[in-house]
Amino acid sequence: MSKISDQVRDCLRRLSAGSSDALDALYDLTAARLVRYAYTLTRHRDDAEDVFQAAFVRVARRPHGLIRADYPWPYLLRIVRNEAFRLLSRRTPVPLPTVVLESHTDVGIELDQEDLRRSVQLALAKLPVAQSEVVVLKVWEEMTFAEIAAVMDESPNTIASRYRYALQKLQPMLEPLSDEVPYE
Amino acid sequence: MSDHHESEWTELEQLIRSAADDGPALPATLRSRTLQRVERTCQHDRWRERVLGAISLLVVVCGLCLSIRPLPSISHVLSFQSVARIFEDGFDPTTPAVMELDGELLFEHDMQSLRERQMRWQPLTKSIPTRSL
Repeated sequence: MSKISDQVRDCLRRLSAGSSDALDALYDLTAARLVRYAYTLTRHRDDAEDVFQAAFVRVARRPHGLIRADYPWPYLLRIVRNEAFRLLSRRTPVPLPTVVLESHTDVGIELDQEDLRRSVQLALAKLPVAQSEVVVLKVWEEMTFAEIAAVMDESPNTIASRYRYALQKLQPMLEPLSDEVPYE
Repeated sequence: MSDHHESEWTELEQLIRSAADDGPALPATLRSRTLQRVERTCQHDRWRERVLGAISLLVVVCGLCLSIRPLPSISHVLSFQSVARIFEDGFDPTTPAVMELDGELLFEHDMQSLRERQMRWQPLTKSIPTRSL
């Protein structure tokens, strides 16, 4: 966690010093992870990219605030979160394609990585946003409950409860997959 | 539930984690679109700063001009009305319009001398004249 925060801070320092390649470096460092997190919140690919762009522009315009933050990475995630909720508040919700979701949970064939990724994403999409968000931050971003609590402005206990509920819901959905995927 | 929670979820977490190994592929144009948007926004910021700077300068200049020559006061407007009535009725020292104009001019003279004293930072030796018509 502190490693990515240090890397983000380094990019922002170079950006504020006028380095031309700092913006590219910041994009390479953060784009995929921030789009993935934005997708968890918006559940729409184009919206996730819009949210990422808005957050990235915000940071690029005023990097000083993020440089001064103790942990720039959770702060950056929080910016993405705020942008996502700002965008969602202007949109009417689009119902998820439940037929497709159902078809992907019934796994009877061997999965490749792309199928697995899609299946997990669809299972996450079935959870309430607040729960899937916790799972993504905990498992994919490898954050502690305290760090997630800081991003989501909740208590660590609330975050831990959400995580437990989320895993309880995910288990029956993903159990068939666990037989197909060989672990290292 | 702590960060070192029960091992019953370990397998499930590993499965979820393995689904994120590659991460979603970003569209090839996202980088150029994002960097263009940053550049465009920064340009807008620069232009906004220039316009705001110009407006601030204009406000300062206008403020200086107004402090040197005050805007027409209500007594100026009343004086113009009195003069207009004198032109209509003809000049007669006993008419209300002439008396009114006289009062307005005296009032304006007192106010002007008061302003000049204030601008010179002189202590007031005379109370503010009350407007009597």
